[in-house]
Amino acid sequence: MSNKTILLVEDNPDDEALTIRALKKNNILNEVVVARDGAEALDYLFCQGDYSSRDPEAIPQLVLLDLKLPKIGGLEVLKQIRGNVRTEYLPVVILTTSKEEQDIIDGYKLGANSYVCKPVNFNEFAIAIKQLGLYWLILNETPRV
Amino acid sequence: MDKMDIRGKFNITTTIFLSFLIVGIIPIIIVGYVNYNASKRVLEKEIFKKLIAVSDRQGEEIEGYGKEKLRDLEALSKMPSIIKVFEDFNTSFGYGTGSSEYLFTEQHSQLLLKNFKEIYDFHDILFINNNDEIIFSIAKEKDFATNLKTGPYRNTGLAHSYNKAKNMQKASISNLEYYSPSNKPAAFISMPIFSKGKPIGIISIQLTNSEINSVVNNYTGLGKTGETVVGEKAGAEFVFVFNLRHDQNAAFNIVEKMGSANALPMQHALLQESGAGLSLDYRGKKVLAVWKYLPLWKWGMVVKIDASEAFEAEKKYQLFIWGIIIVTLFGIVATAAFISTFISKPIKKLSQVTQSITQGDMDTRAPQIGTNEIGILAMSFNKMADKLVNSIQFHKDEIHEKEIIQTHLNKNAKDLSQVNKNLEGKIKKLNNSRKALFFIIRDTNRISKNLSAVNKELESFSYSVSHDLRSPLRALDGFSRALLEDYADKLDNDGKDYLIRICSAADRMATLIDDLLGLSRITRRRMQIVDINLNQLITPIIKELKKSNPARHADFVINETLMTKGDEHLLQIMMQNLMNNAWKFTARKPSTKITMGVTVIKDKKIFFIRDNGAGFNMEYADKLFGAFQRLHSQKEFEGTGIGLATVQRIINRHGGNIWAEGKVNEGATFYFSLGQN
Repeated sequence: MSNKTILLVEDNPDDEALTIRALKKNNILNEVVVARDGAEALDYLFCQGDYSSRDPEAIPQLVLLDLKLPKIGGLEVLKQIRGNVRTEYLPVVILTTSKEEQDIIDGYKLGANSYVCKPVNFNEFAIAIKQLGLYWLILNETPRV
Repeated sequence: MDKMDIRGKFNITTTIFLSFLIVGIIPIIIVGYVNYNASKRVLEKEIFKKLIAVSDRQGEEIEGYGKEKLRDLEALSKMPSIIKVFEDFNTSFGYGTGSSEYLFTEQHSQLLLKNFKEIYDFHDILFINNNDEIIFSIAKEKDFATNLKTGPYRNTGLAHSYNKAKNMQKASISNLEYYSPSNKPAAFISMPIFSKGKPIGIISIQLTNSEINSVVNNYTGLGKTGETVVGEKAGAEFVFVFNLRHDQNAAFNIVEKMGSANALPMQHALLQESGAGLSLDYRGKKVLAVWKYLPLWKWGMVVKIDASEAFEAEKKYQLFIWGIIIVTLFGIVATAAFISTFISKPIKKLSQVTQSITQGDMDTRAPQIGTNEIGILAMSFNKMADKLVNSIQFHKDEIHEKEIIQTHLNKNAKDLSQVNKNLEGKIKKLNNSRKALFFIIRDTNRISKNLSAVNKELESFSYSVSHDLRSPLRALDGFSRALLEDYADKLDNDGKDYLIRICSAADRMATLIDDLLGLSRITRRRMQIVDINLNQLITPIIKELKKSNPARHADFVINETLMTKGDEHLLQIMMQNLMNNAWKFTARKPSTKITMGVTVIKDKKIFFIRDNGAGFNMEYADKLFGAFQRLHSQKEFEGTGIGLATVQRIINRHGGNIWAEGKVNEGATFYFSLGQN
């Protein structure tokens, strides 16, 4: 397993803690970078603002993206990720509470790789995170840009 | 009376007639006058244009002829053979014109000189030596061998041109005038001739007037009276040098004094002016003339045409215009007369009828004439007269009736005032109702406006609920489990039990939220009504239910084909809820029987689902379909109380009805209709 990072875009500190715990429980030891809103996520990805000194070549291996975010919404973040040459093939999994049909359709239209609903039940949630990590961090191959 | 205006003075026929006449005549006269003047000017312009064209052409030809002869002579005077011949004659002339030397020279040069005369079309070629003697002439007329200074011909055109050429040492043209040795008019051109730079004499050529005569007497483009006149000054007089169209003997016979009243254009031309205009010619006749001066010949040239001819076309046109004016005038007079009688006749008639009615003859009527304004007037007048007669009769009747009515009226007045009072009260009530209605409509509008705003708000609210309400639940559940897993050793059994309760509460809350969202989605969904077979919808649901608990003894009875119309997705949700409901409340029975069918009540197709489950008390039947309303405890039967609320909403959206009948412990039957059927 590479040591590439996971970018977790999540504004809810509870969900953040639960996600990180679930990852750890499932032995996924990649570094997890947390962005608390859409703007911060974009700053991190495109090495701007507070992250302007970051190495632009170091692209995360996976983005876990919530939809309802302060400042810039999750769908807009996804749109910008797909619009940039460096991040256009970056795996993005929408990890959100919304089960709205329209959100799912919009997410896939904008090029999300997966759409996963956060279950309320922690056990189910932990299973979902485990499967996500297994698939996107180990099985899945992305083109080397 | 004297001051009565014109409208009163003439009768209507005359007035209309005069108006027409005035309106018609004035523009005709103005148009005729303007047209005539304009065409006259155009005509004159055309004629002058023609005359100028002829004068330009002929002037050029005459001057060109002179210039050509000048060039010919100049060429001749420079030919070595001519210079040689001239010198030979100069020498041989000294021996006398009868000498053998002269004859020899003459013989040898004869052919050459005759050729030149012919080629160049000269009347004669003459050599004159430095002693002013004519030493050679082809024609050999009386002037041959005479001296041009002292001899008999010292005052001729030849002598003049010779002297000038000799004195000025350059070419000179004489006047065209009668030359006695030839016995006809002649013009001469003389030119010095040189040999090795020295002047050895003068060479002259004699021209007849025939060439120019043919130019001048070409009348092409000059109509019947047009002609070209060429004149030459002779001291204080001037003479016409060519014959004329109107006088074949004119050449050198018509002599006029400068300043005379006649032949004014020629006088202008000879004063070296050029121009055009209406003037008097040599005959004292009015002419349209163009004049110019020809400098080479020192001639005046006039091209002219008689005014009488020039204006002939104009006169014809004038006559034509007058003809049209007169014909039109006749037309106007006739039309005016016709229209004035046509209009005034019915009016006159009408006025007669009016007079007779005024005098009391109420039976006279105007004759029917057409449908125009006058016709309508007559008709209206007749109607008015009819009405007048009627109203007179009516008035008579009325007076009689009035007396009867008056008595009735007095009697009724009292009743009427009572009725009036009642009516007033009713009107007042009506007005109040109308006002109320107005307010109701206004409120309804306001409410429907608010409603759509509320709907929108609800949509965004349910979205927020979907997302935000679940997150805290996840935290509750998640951290409780974290505690159970990570701090199990520090918790006693009670503590663990509490945490497990927190988790299950969170779970239930999540289900509740999902159900609520489902309910609100049903309201928002856009329906697509299609034909639906309910049997097909139910089959997979039954399968699913049986699979969920295979041990249960269950009987599903459906003996009919249940066809209806509706939105497939919504009806599927509805059937799912109804079947779940039946399945749930029959769980505690040893064997389950669920029946579905259709019946007809009041001509309406009513579907029903009957179970043999827990049933309910009919007292609470109205609470069945309210959201969160439950008739059983959570322990007895799980549920959120939203399932039947969802069913009712779906049926409402289809315009249908649902109700239930039941008895505790004996089962329940749900009846429903779907409005579209």
